[in-house]
Amino acid sequence: MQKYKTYLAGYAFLLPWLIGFLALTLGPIIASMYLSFTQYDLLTAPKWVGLDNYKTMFNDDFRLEDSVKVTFKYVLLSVPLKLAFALLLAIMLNQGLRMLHFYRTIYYIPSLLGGSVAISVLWKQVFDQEGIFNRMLAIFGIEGPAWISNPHYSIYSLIGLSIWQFGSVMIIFLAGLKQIPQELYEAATVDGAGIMRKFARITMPLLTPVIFFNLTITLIQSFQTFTKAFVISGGTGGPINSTLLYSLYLYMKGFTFMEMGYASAMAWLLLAIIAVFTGVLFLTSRFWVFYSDGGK
Amino acid sequence: MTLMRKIKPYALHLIIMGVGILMLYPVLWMISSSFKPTNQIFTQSGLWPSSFTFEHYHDGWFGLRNVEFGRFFLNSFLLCLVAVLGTVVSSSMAAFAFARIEFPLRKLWFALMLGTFMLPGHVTLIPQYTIFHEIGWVDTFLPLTVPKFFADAFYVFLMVQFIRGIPKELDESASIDGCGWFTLYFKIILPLATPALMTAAIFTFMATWDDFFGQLIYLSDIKKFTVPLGLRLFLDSTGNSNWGAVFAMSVLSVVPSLIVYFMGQKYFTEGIATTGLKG
Amino acid sequence: MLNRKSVSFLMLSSILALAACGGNGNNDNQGSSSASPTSSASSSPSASQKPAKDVELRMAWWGSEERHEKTLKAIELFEQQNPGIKITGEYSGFDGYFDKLNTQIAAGNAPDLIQMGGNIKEYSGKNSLLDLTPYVGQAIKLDDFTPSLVREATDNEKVYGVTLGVSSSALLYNASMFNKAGIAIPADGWTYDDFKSVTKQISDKLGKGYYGSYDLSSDSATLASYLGSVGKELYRDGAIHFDKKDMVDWFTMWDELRKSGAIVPAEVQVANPPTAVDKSLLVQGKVAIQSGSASQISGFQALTQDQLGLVTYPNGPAGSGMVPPISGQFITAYSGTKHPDEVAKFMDFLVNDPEAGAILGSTRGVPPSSKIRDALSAEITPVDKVLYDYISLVSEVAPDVTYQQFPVDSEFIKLLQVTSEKISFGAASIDSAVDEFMSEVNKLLEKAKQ
Repeated sequence: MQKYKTYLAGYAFLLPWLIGFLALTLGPIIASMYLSFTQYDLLTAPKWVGLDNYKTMFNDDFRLEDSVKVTFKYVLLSVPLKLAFALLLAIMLNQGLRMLHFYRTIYYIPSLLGGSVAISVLWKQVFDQEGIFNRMLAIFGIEGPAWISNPHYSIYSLIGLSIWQFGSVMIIFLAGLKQIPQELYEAATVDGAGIMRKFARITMPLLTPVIFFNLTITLIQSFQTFTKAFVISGGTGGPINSTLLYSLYLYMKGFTFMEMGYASAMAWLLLAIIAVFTGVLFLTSRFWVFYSDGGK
Repeated sequence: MTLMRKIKPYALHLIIMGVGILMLYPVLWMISSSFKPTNQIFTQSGLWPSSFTFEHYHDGWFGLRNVEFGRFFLNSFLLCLVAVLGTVVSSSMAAFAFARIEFPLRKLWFALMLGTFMLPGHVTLIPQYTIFHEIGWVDTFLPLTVPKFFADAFYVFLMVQFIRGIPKELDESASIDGCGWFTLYFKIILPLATPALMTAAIFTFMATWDDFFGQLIYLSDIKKFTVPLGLRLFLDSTGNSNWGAVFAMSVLSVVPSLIVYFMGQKYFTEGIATTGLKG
Repeated sequence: MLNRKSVSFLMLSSILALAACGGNGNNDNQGSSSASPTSSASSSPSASQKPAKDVELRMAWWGSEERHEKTLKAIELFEQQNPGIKITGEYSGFDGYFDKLNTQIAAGNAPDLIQMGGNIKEYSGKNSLLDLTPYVGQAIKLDDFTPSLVREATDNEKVYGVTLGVSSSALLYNASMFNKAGIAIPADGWTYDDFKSVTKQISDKLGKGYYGSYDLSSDSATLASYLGSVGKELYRDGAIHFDKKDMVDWFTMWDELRKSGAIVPAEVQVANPPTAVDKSLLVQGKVAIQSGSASQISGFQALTQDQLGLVTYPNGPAGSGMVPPISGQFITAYSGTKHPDEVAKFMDFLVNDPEAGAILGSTRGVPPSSKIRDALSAEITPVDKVLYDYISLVSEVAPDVTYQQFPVDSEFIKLLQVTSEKISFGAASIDSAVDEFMSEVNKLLEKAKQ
């Protein structure tokens, strides 16, 4: 009896999500899988073409190769840096500094500007050949390149933009830090533990669920980055496809070139890639993530 | 040793301040441009305007026939409130189920939920739009609000991680005291997960406040427009854009987000008193 | 059609319960909009004589607030003159306009009246637009339009749109820069040799950071004009009419100009794309020439205190590569509209009614009707005058060819841009870049045929 009550409770709490999933999400997902086997220009009905889209993707699309390389570079660089920066600042801000509120707000403002139209203009002001960043470098005698418009460096300006918006990740770390009970630190101090010990033995382990969350989510989101790349490159992914992140190329194919079938195939490829990464993260999480509820 | 200790807070302040200013520079440029006459915004690159004008604020607010920019703020605000409510309630419920209740197929649903998060939104856009069109919800706020009541994978995952950080002993002592599932959820878990809930609330507010594409696709009546749509009404890259108005309204539109964020900070600073832990 | 419907039907059956509680769920302050054709259609059959029920039309356009204001005013005037017809404007900035339109068409929900640009052929061939041929000459009078304007909106002998504004491709120049450098302003009839010498002189005279021209190798309008001036053509009737050597010559010319400092280097070009008015170096007085659509001049002029002007593209060995003025924008109708008659009436109003002409002015380019143009020419602003004069000039000097746009135009433009960038950044030799370009162009032609 008790067991069934539990099952019922579980489903009762899950119900809102379940309804939404079945009614609004599942159908479109299946539809997009179907579309990936068609040629669909949005204006006329989809035409079945079997595996053609997939074949073209793997054999005959020069932009796709560039796009995948650029995306991997972006992900592998921006994710660790963003997390490290956010964690570092979260810890610093958690030291009980005065004016904490003020600083936290300042750091979060960049994230507020997210997909704002103003960002493209603003970023250029900073990273242009004559921009602020290069002028700062000049103080140290370094002549900076044109960060945004040089194909070798443009991806770094995107990575920089991503890291600049670390505010949301930082907030989550802060919330996680705040959830660690003060009593633990007090008890440790009583036992004679120093700062480093407390950090390594209390803070880090108890923070692992949040680190895991941030790592997974940031990874997924970073593979799907669209707005930044669109806004910075003016929708072109240039120069020479150097900022053509996967999602931007997908959008280009689906909406600008009106090849929604191909775009759908691209979407499923991306999903496969992300799923592999996420799966690895989840499987390895049992080795380093510590949950207070004893689970894994 | 003591010297280091003395310097430490100042050094810390300095570094944090310095980085802070760097982060803010682009924003300062935007604010300054909102006060420059149109033909100087892109030609004068200094931060301080050589001639001040308030015309952009006036044009931006009143410049559109049939509607004032204030209307867009109102619409965005309402949308955000409903979105926050829906998201927090439904996501916390789902998170509670995943984190605390053992029921069949739990792992499967969780995996599926994460899976939905991994598919790029652009390809499900057309089928979803078609569904909403068939039930007549296009050009209303419904497609932008109702789905929020069905939980959002991002926040469910976030809250799951938080709830799992709450010791299970609390659950056990609660059920010994005779608490049912709902009481456990409402009176114990939710209060302890407040930082996560507030995070979800604030993020949902921001995301909804900034959501351009979703709002563009579903809203056509100008009176229903929201801030992101309103900002772009002034931008025609094929012809005349009114950048001054865009910057002025952008400056204004950052303010509510800032306020929400500032007010929500309190909930990040409250520690958690786990009085039940030792007892 | 069938597949889309069945997918949504599946979903419909599982969300019926939802629709019931969703309909009165949220407190949105307007109630239902006046917009959806599905609901108004069932109550007002098209071409109905009954004045009892208002005919409701939806019109979509993009622009900035100046155009929104003028268009709404014109709509009000029409509604006053035609009680019983109501038009709701669905307007926005340019960003996302076509994404939204495509989504609406895919779901069968597009507005009755749709503003289109040069991409009209991408839609006409796919049955998305209403065939207006039965109305031409009757409800829609196009007598004082230049015939080429009507031809542009014609696909397969059917007329799909009405020109709203005439424009032409042009080279925009910064007269103040020319004056500062003491060089004569170019005039129609100049040659590519003139272009090369003028741009070099400007960058020499004005010094570092100043250039004679943008790198126009990635601009399809300039390319088309160049090909015309050497006796070739970009595209006609399903095939290209240029070859590898033409493209190599083209890119080599620009490469030499870039190396001599006469035109902007690669990085500067990317950082300040000429098409983006807000980033334009023409506006900032750093670059003297750029290519664009003539009607954009007012947008550019508003952002600078320098004096700007318009000139035709240079001539080549075979003469001028210009084409007669083209339609900058069209007004079209959705093929699924329930009120084609009213739609046609409004279209005619937009382009022929003198009061509407006075209200709209040149917000979409030079008015196509010669009568309206004449009526307006007395009161136009100096910037508009520059535009009008230029359009008249082009009508006179351009050889009489019918301009045919490259199909899948958006892809072609991006291809040209990537090729140009590869060369300008030295990522590929001109020869190999052109080889890749030619093979991709042929792929595009194949795709267009499907």
